Amino acid sequence: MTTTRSYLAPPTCALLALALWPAPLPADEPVQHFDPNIELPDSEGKAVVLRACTKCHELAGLSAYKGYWGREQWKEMVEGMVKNGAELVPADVEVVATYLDRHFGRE
Amino acid sequence: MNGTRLVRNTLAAALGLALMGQCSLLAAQNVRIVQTNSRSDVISLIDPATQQVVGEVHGVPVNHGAAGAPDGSRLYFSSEAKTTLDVVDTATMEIIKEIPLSARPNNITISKDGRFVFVGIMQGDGGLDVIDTQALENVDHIDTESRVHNVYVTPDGKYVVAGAFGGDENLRVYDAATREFAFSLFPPKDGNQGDAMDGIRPISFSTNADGSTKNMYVQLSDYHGFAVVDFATRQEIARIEHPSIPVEQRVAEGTYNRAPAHGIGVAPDQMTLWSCSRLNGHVYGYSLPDMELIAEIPVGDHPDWITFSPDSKYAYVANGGSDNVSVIDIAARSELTRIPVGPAPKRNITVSLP
Repeated sequence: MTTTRSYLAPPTCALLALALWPAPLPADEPVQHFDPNIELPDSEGKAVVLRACTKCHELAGLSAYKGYWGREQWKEMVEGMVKNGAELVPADVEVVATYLDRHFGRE
Repeated sequence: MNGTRLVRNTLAAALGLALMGQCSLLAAQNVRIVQTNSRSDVISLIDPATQQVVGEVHGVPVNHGAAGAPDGSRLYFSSEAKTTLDVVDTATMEIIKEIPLSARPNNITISKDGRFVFVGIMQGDGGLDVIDTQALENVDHIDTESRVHNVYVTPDGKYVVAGAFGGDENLRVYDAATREFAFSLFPPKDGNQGDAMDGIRPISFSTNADGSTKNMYVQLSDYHGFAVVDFATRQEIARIEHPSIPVEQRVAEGTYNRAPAHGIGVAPDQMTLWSCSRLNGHVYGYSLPDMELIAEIPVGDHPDWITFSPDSKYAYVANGGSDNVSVIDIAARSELTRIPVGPAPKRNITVSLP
């Protein structure tokens, strides 16, 4: 039986990032972040993605979308995540959508 | 009965049994466990006779749902990346059609006669897309008033059951023939309307002797176990909680996507029910119909889904976090082996190919 408990570096929680939804933590628990399990490219928006998205899930699944979605689809996805509890102000939604489209969008 | 007739009847019975055995052997030779791999475009095909991957389907990126035609001639897969339902000819294992969907899909199911595939839509307003498998077109949309994660056709083929999120009542049932709303269950917990994560997780069904649907076994958000619903009376009749897992024995999964129990199935012989736990990477077995806990079996990381060999000897648990499938020997109540598959395996089904 696995007994490890670590929110910071889940060893093999290979969830498809975009099939996950954020879930609010109780207010008295410190904010933890998942290991993104992917080397995100550097550009504007990376920090926002890491801050907002890895609160609830890793990001390795992003690569499977590469080449398929345009910016509008990424924006819809991000807006859906906000409905699910992701903490992103409207301006950040645009930043994240642009980042995802740039690095994981259609080529 | 005279002696001649006795001998003739005995021989006929023996011949019948032999033919039945031959037929079941032939059928068994073509059984495949179809294992999606959600973080890739590849689906793995497992032969339950050898417990090995013997084939693959390519070209379905971020594959989510899987369904098989009743005659085994086709497989259907939903692609979240392409926003399509992909139709695969099992003679070649090649995609023959990519059917556009109304929005990003999740799981799928097929009508008993194979004529329609129902696709759960998890984006926007949700709903169910209806695919005509003769025309190979998206021909209808059922408004479920909420996003649909999983969808099923009941064992008797009469109803389509959608497991949704964020709606007034998240288990929604429709007449399979007319597509009209029939009934719904499970309002948000504590009346917490607008909780987009509150809803219905995987569902399984048991059948009565006449083939009609007996019970639904429903996994719920934030519940480590499942609810039992009498289908005829549309009432929840029991709630079965898995054994409590001490915090220090839980795997490092944070909130477990608010689905501590995800993946449930009734074995084809209707004798046992199996439910996956993400909390500690276990599958729990229960006897039917008395619902006694009969097995607690460690599997891989983040078990997500379960299917069975047609003879009910084996259960196949997709371990989404460890990229493999645990084969459970049901009689022995133990894990037989783990089969490596692709990245993040989730939904799986059992099909008999021609």
